[in-house]
Amino acid sequence: MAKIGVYIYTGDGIAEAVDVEGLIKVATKAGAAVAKSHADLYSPEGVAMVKQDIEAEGLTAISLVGMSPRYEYKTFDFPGVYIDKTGIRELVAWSHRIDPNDEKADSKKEHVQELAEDYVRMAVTKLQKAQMPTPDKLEAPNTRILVIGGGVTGMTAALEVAEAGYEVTIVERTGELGGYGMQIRKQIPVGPDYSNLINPIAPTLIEKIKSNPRITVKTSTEIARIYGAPGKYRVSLKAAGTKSEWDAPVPLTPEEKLDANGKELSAEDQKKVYAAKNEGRNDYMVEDPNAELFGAVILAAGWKPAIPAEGEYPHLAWGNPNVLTNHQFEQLAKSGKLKRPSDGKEIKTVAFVQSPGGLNDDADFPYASAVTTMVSLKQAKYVREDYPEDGKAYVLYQHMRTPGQYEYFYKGLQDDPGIFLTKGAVTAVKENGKGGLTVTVEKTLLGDNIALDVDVVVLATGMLPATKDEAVVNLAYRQGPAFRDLDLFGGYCDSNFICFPYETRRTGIYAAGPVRRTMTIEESMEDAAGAALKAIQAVKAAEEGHAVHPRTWDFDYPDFYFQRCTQCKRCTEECPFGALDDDEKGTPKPNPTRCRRCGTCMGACPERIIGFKDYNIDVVGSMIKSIEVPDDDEEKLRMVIFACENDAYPALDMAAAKGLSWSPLPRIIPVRCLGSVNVAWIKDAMSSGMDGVLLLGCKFGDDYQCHFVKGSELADRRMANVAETIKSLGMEPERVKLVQIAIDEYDKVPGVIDAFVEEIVGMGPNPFKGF
Amino acid sequence: MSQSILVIGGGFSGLTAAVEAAEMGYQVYLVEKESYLGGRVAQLNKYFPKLCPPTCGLEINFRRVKTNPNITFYTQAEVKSVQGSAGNFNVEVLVNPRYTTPQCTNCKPGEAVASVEFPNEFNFGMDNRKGIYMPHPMSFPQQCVIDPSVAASAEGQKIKDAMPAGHVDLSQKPETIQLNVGAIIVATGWKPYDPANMERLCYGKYPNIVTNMMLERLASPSGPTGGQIVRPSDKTMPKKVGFVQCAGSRDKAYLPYCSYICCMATLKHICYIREQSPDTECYVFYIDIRSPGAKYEKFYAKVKADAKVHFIKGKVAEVKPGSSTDSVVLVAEDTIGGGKVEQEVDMAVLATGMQPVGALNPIPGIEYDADGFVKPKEGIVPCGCAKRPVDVVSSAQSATAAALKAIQMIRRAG
Amino acid sequence: MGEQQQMQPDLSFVKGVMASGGETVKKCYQCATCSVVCPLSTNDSPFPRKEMLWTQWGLAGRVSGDVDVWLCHQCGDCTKHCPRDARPGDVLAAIRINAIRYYAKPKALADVFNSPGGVVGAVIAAAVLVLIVAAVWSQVTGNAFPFPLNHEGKVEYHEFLSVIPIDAMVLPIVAWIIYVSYNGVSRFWNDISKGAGLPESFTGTYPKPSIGLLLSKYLGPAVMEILSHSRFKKCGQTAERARGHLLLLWSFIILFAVTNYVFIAEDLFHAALGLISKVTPLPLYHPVKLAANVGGIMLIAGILMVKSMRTQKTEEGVLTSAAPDWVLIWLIFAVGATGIGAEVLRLINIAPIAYPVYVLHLATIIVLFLSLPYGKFGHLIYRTTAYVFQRWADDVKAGKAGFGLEKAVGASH
Repeated sequence: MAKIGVYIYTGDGIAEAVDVEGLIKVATKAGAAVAKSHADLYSPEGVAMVKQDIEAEGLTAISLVGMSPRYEYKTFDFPGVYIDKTGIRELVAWSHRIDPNDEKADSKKEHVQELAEDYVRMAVTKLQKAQMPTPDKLEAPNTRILVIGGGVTGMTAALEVAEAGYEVTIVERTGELGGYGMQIRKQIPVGPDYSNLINPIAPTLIEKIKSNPRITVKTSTEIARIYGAPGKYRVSLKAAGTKSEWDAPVPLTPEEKLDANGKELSAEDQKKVYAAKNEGRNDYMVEDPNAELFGAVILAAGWKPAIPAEGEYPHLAWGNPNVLTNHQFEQLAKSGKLKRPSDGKEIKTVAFVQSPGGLNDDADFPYASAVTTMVSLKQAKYVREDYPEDGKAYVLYQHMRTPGQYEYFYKGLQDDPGIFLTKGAVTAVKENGKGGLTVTVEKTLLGDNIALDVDVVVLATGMLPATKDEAVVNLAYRQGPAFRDLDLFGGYCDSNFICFPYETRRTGIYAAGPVRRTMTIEESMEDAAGAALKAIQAVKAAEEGHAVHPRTWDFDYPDFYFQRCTQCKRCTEECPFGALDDDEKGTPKPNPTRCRRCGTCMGACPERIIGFKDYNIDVVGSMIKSIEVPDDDEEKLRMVIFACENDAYPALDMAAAKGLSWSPLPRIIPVRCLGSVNVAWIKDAMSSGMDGVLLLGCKFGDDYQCHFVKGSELADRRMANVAETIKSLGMEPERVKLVQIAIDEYDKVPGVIDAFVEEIVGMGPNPFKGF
Repeated sequence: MSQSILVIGGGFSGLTAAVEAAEMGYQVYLVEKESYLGGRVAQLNKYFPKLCPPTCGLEINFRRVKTNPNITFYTQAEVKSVQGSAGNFNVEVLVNPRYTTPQCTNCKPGEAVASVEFPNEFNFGMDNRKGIYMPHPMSFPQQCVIDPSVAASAEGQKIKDAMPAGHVDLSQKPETIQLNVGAIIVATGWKPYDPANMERLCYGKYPNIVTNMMLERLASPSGPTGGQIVRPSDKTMPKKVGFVQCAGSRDKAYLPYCSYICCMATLKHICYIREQSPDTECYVFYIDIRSPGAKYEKFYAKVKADAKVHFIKGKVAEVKPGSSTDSVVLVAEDTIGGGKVEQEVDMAVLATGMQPVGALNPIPGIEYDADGFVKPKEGIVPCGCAKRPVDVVSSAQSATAAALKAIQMIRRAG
Repeated sequence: MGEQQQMQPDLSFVKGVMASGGETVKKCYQCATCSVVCPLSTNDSPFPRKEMLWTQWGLAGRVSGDVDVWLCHQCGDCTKHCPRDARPGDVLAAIRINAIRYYAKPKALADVFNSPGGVVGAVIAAAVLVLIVAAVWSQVTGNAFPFPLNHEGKVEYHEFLSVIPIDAMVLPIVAWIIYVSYNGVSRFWNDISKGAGLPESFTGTYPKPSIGLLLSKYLGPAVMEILSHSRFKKCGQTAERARGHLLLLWSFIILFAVTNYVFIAEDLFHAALGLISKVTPLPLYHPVKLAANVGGIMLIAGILMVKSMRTQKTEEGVLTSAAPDWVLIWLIFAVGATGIGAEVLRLINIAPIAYPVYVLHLATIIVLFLSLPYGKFGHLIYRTTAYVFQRWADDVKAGKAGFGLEKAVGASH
């Protein structure tokens, strides 16, 4: 049992807002061994006072009741002592200012006092229930890094990892290293001077790879399956293009789980369908004894040239032998002097088409980017290189996309008298009867619609990420072999976080280069270095037993009380990061190093058997129950607000700091993520006579802001179910509500709370109050 | 040989580089010249193309800083000189006084008594602050700042007396500290290019010509208007807004390179405006709309689908006063439609570009190119917009890569 | 926008313009700053942005058919504000030189009159011609050659070459100049009519006004505008250049008038018809002589101002000057200098220098006017034509076109 000290800060208007003595009494009554106040708690004097008590009284846990937990850091640091903070300055004093001239001042003061007292009770209760987290270290993790893809990105990643002192293996599907970087005649510069083309750099990288003792290269090889977790991946490799018993099995799609009449198949039948679907493949939980061990993975599988479908772009005469993609043209250029594949004629005039939309749309080709724009300029230069006297290259663009310093590349290439550029809508490409093509361009800068006779038309088609049509990583995970959200990102293996581009939903696997987002070679090489660091960090985190992004400081890990598990599979299905596999029976098999500590599993578990040392069903449930609910006072309804600690809670802090206020009836409990909110807490709240529950969490949908990806969305679904239950109890389902609030919407959040409170007041008290 | 890393600049790139390196167990010093971490993105209302608040990612990174024992950061601090070589740099840092103590997290008592007002630099002078202030609601560290100009005055004393005892210390002096580090990550970022340099665009001459960064503040809930996009002269919602692209960028006289973000920023600003005002017309004068790649192209498509948004291919080269009060006329050649366009607007937004800080305040001991971007050399690793003009995503990549480069450097040296 | 145009970029044209002072043309990236900052460019047909692209694309025909090129006075505002250093002002100047060459006949002469060497050669050739004629004439008159003195023993150019041989020599040349210029101008007119995209109501065929109407209705105002230099003065960067140029223009007019007086009085009434006695040399107090001397001084002053301004503006970087610019400046200077020189030397009566200078004076005048349809001097006729055309075309577009077009217009209703 913790020996608890409660310290109440009385500065910044707290003393004026509440009866501090009253709070101290409450704290003591709730079981605090020491309960004191200090006018300048966060000053050296305050810290000294606490330190002295810890030594004198042997306190094991202290609660700082005062300023928001977000502001104090590193000042109170007592090894072995659990420290918790409650922000009554913001949540009580600043957000519930009372005008002394207000005739209702007294009754209001009473409300505010009760609010503060409840926060103190909750604080003490938390300390009574919480335990000090202990790191869950992975014994002797494997630190070797696997790089998938031997192109420029993959090679660079490998070199960067090796340079940092780690062993690394490159797995390349083709017979050679180099990737697309070896299939080009010239390339776009990788640094100043940007004004001209340079020779491909892939060959130099290959040389460096060969001479680096830390790098192993496996060509003509691909991934059968990646089993395990960061620090202990077991990777089964196979000869490229072959089948293997270790190929990762693919789970059933929702459709496949239904029978002919759309009814869900029985568990047995589903197993059969699954078995049939994965014929010849070992189950995803079976360990390959011959697998290679790795600590983390860098996915640098690169891209494939987009080839328009047959009959696509009829107005651009796609299908005509003299209409080529930029990829086909690059192959010609690489193979020698530019000659037409159709009839061997010299290619002296070329039209490069940047945008296929004609007059209707000025967008570039799908999967195009700044790279494709610059490739057009590059290839225009090829025409001039091969035919300096009379070679003519027309670059027909809607928008010349050479961002940043690549402007210098544009500037350098447009100087060539044989390169003609204009904005325009290419509306038709037709055979001109002279063995060439006529390109019609409308809305040009030249003042009218023009027609150009050319030998060849080149379409600036895009770069398809390697993960568009196949998993590539072939994860032996319960949730399937591929990355999640691929459809959302158009097949790119991308992160949805602008601030954290490497954070996908598969811990320990970091994508780099064009598989993540179309990039130039220069950008891909930088990206490779970034991914290399993330991969190394993942191994290190496993070793030290803390989480990776976004809770890198977190050494705790959810415990499972398996005896009571009913194999309902909710946790394994809902974990946004695929951290939980399961066995034959469906009992979850945790993979601590894949876990991001969001607590979504805890929120999902109907049996309440999942929890963290200091954040679990009991801790929060008890905090809720510690709130005093007057059962006879219509004026004093009570609600609980679960607020996302990263976004909604800071919004409340800022609202308070700005002097905005809201109803004193709800009590706010910060949560890691709404995904961790278990319906048990709702039930606890309602059964202890509370009148409503509000969840404040992040925006969900395609542009989700939840840093645990699915938390708020899952919570929303759960609340829908809760609503049903509440209804069945004869209560208004509206008593439980979820609202999406962004961190910067502090100007709105008080209104949201008050509106909710008003709704509840309208419904009247919880009928079960007092039972 | 030193095992520690110095990160110059506490903006998004520097912050990222610092936490990424510190989470690898290296001792990191972070030096920021402003009184808060977060830099340029802290001033942004939302990111393109997701339209999510930058403070959300900052909150996470601040928590990483708070909880990481390996990071030491200095605000209001400038690197004065860099000497030595890879593995063993000696760096002189001037740390300016804040005149408050760490427990001073609430400026209100001081603000209440302070009488002198200063233009609020965080909001580009569109509103005022007192001699004691919190730079912005999300400021980290959350510690009040006292303006050096009042510190020595009676005003300063008045503020001190109003604040809790021990929270204000007017006796603080600038102090110079010496750091010995093995590698240096330069993340000094960018400044909005000074629009006054482009005389033809008449910034400062007419009241309703603002910059894209000013619009970010106008749109932000923590901005001077609480998030209401109004024009400066009469605080009314403009019914016609003109966007002047490449205001300084792609111009040999100002910024010869493309500033990378302005086109996307303008598309984003149109979203702000159209969300607040259903009948406001937007006119974008551009040379090229640079929204490359799937995500950005999609965003551009969304914006151009709005019937009230008009794109004119032609650079604004002349600005004249308009017929109605405080409106301006933007003059350009419509190079596709033909003829000159004279578009009267209630407010004009200059899409000013990014100028690397190195072009304005270079650090002795660091090498820069002609544009003021940092040249990498052994042990000195530039990232983000100190290296080249980029968006936030690329800055994060760049900074993460820089952290690895610095770590490699230290391994080589050690 | 007009109907579809088959594009045949002419690389040699691009290279040609780049070689004759427009080497920066490829740097243009079509931001159109130039069209806006140009003080002379019009709202419905802004320039020089489109001209820059046409030149980049080697569209020789399109460029030569573009009247706007001739409405440019190389103010340099575009050049100063160009973000890419493409120097549109200089490119258009280069285009004009090329255009004059394009309309010249034979083109070879254009090369002669645009290069310093060529012009010096031409002057020498002309001088030789004059000497030959004078030598022959001396046989007719029995006067001394090459340094004849009159009965008072003074230098008198009439003794050297009287009006008859001069006219015999000059009139054919004048005829040639008129022929070549007319030929060039009429081709130019057709091209710019095509380029101007006149209303379709003229059943596709472009209207061709009668010379008479053009002269009576449009030449007048155009000339008045030229005489006032009202357009040139609008220049932002180089407006000062207009002053010297205006002075020069007026000096030409005065000297032209004086020459005509002498031609009529001496050649016609005296020599040809014998109605009056010999009038030259005019006494110094004679108003015409006064006018001649004033004109001569204005010419020297004007050309020196033009030269120093051009040098200054070149140093400021708002314009650059190609060979044809300097050739014309020096030629005009030579004409003025030799003219004044010849007169002074005659009065102080130093025959051995006076006659050679007089010969050079005649030679430089001949070469200057010969260069009209070939050299930069040609801007005199092409720019004037452009001014006239612009007025007329505006009327046509406004449907107010006269001169026999009423039928066509009516027909379209």
